[in-house]
Amino acid sequence: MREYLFLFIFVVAGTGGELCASRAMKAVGEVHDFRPAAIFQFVLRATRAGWMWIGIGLMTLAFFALLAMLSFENVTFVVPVTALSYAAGPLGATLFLHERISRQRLLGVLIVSIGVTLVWLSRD
Amino acid sequence: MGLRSGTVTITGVVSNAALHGAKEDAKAEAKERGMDKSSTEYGHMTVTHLKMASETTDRMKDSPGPHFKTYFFILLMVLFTPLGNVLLGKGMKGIGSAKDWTPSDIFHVFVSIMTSSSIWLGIACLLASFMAYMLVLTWADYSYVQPASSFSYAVVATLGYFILGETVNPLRWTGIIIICAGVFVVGHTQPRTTEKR
Repeated sequence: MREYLFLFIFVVAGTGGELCASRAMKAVGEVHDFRPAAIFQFVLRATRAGWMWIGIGLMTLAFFALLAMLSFENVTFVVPVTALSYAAGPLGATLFLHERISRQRLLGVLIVSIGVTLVWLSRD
Repeated sequence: MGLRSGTVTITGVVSNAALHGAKEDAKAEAKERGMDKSSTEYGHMTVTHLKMASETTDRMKDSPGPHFKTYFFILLMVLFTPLGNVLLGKGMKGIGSAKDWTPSDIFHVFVSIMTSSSIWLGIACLLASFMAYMLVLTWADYSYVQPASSFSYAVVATLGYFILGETVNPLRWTGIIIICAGVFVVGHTQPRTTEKR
């Protein structure tokens, strides 16, 4: 039961964190200048975005959920099942960032989900 | 670029990274409307002498240097991400799971995590992988880099088998290979699906 809970927290918090960070980065704007000083200025601007801090908080929560899963499950099981984020990502991106999901991406998500199901079934 | 009305004529070489997104939008719109590569006219859209080349492709064609650099950084990503995860796994196996999940129990596990060398080494590997990913994205396309990272799922199973002595049965290998294929397919989709702001 706890593996379901931690996987749920990892996928939801991890995907939510990335979506929040993505929203913050889109608000900050595209990087055109890759000099260290310019990148530093860009990071500084990014840290002023509220969404970025929500994203960092959620990604930290996802990291600790991953550690919790690794404390009682094998890494060869945990890491592949976390690929479920590839299925949650497009769903969140559609709802939260209003992105369009192509048929090919949906097919990829379906293939990943089949793979995750097989890994889940392979548990001892 | 408006494709819904009027006539659009595209001529020349697209070699600027900023225009690459516009080119991809135009291709997607044309494809959506049933246009294939051999069509020169579809509805109100006319395409003449269109040659498209992204900066990545051009740079890669120009010299073997960037090609090697891209492979090298992708290799770093594909090695450091699974290595980081394996080290995290090793650290957490040593610490063990919280027994009754009381606040004091969780605090004890948290302190053990913060003082574990394997955990910190794992975090360092994941940070190194993240840096390699960020750096490679400054000259290579996301749609080129992201599918390559799918190999890390196969590498983590191999490292888990050799370093941690974990058993990977045929069903799990099949699942991992299918996941790699799925991530590869996701990575080959258009990176941008929204209007540029």
